[in-house]
Amino acid sequence: MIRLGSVKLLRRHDVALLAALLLASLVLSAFPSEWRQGLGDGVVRICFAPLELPAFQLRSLRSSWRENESLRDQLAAARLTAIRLTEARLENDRLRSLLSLRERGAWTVVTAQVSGREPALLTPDLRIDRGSDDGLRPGMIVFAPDGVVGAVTAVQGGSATVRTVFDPQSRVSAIDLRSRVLGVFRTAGGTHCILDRVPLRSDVRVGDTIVSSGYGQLFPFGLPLGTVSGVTTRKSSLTCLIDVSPALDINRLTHLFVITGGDHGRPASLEPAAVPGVPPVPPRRRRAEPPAALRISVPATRVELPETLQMLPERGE
Amino acid sequence: MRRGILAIFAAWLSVFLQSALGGAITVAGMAPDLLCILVMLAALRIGPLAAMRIGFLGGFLADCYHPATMGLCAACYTVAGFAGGAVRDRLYPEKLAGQVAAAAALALAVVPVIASLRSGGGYLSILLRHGIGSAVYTAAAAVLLLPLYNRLLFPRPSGRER
Repeated sequence: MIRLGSVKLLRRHDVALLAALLLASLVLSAFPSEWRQGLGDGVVRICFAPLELPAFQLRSLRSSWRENESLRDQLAAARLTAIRLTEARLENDRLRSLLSLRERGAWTVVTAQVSGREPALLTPDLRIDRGSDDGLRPGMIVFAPDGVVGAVTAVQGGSATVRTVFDPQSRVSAIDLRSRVLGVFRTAGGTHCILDRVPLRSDVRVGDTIVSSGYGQLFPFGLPLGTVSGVTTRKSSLTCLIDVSPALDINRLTHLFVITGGDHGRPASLEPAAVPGVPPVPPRRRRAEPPAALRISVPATRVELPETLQMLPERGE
Repeated sequence: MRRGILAIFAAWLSVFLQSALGGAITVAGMAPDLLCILVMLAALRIGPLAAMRIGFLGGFLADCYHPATMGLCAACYTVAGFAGGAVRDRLYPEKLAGQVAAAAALALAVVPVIASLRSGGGYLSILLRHGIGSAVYTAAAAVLLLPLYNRLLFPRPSGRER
């Protein structure tokens, strides 16, 4: 017994055991690293490994619970989205059935070539090489890949006269394809066209595409008319003046299409679209038929509409 | 005999919990030293011989997770058991407060030594960064575990035995 005054500090066998255990620890630390590694791995494998997996699973319970909560939230959100999408699909189906929307671009058209131009200063009427022999009748709509050309006004056996949209008497009910603002497309002199009767503060912007609205029951919906090139508002007026750059270059027009049937329905009258406040215009005088020698006879063929026109929804009727 | 087996089991359980639950119970790099609690309890209630044996066994098991420093924990916990047994007469071995304070003091002494020798870092910085916090954490764990260890290792004798 080692004493410090009256306090017992150490006993000999305690010191002996301490020395022995410290020596054992020293021996352990003096082992080669491979031995230490093997000893450690073996003891861990025997003493702890059997319970490591349950312990790991116990530890992962918390993260699994959090992940489960997160997945439940995502599932609830996905269910809500699915419900909304289903409702939207059903609503879409209902609206489609209400609007009687049908397959688009199912018109029957006859191709024609421009065979002559009636003399006029700025906007000549066109003569085409198709007539009543090809099924054309007055009032049928004529268009080109670039946009609306006009309507047939008179037919003969193998030719017809087309009044273009650049004629001062022509009016086309038009719509802004982006903002659905309605107006009346007409010429303001030559190929300078405007969208008339557009209320002030309407959402019409430069660059908007103007197409026929189908409301006039003459031109079907969706035929391109032009692009907005300027918007002018005047304080003294209740409407704004929309300048439209026409989509059609009539001077370079050679081939065009005449809608003779299909979903477009019966051909409407050639009279300009009924616009409130605009007096009816008397029909123009028929011009003489051109010599037969100048006519070019091309057999009528059914053609597929250009893709751009097929994409446009049909409305009206 | 029974107490010896239970003490070995307690040592194994302490090391296992410390390794298995290490990530879950570590807060800011500080974890309670469960083996310190057991070694100090053995030193106070039984004596330095039992404490050194438990310390060596538990330290060896802990060393098996770090074979590169094999023998370090065994030596440290052996010395800790011896030191606890040397001062047991100056404490109140059966008082919970004394056991908790002794366990915290032991953790404060042992944890920085082991950590600095394992990592090669400075003892003082490790003591300040982790040692004090681990000692406090060990004291908190001791408050929970010591009643369990006391009941397991030192059951009160029945009236007839008294």
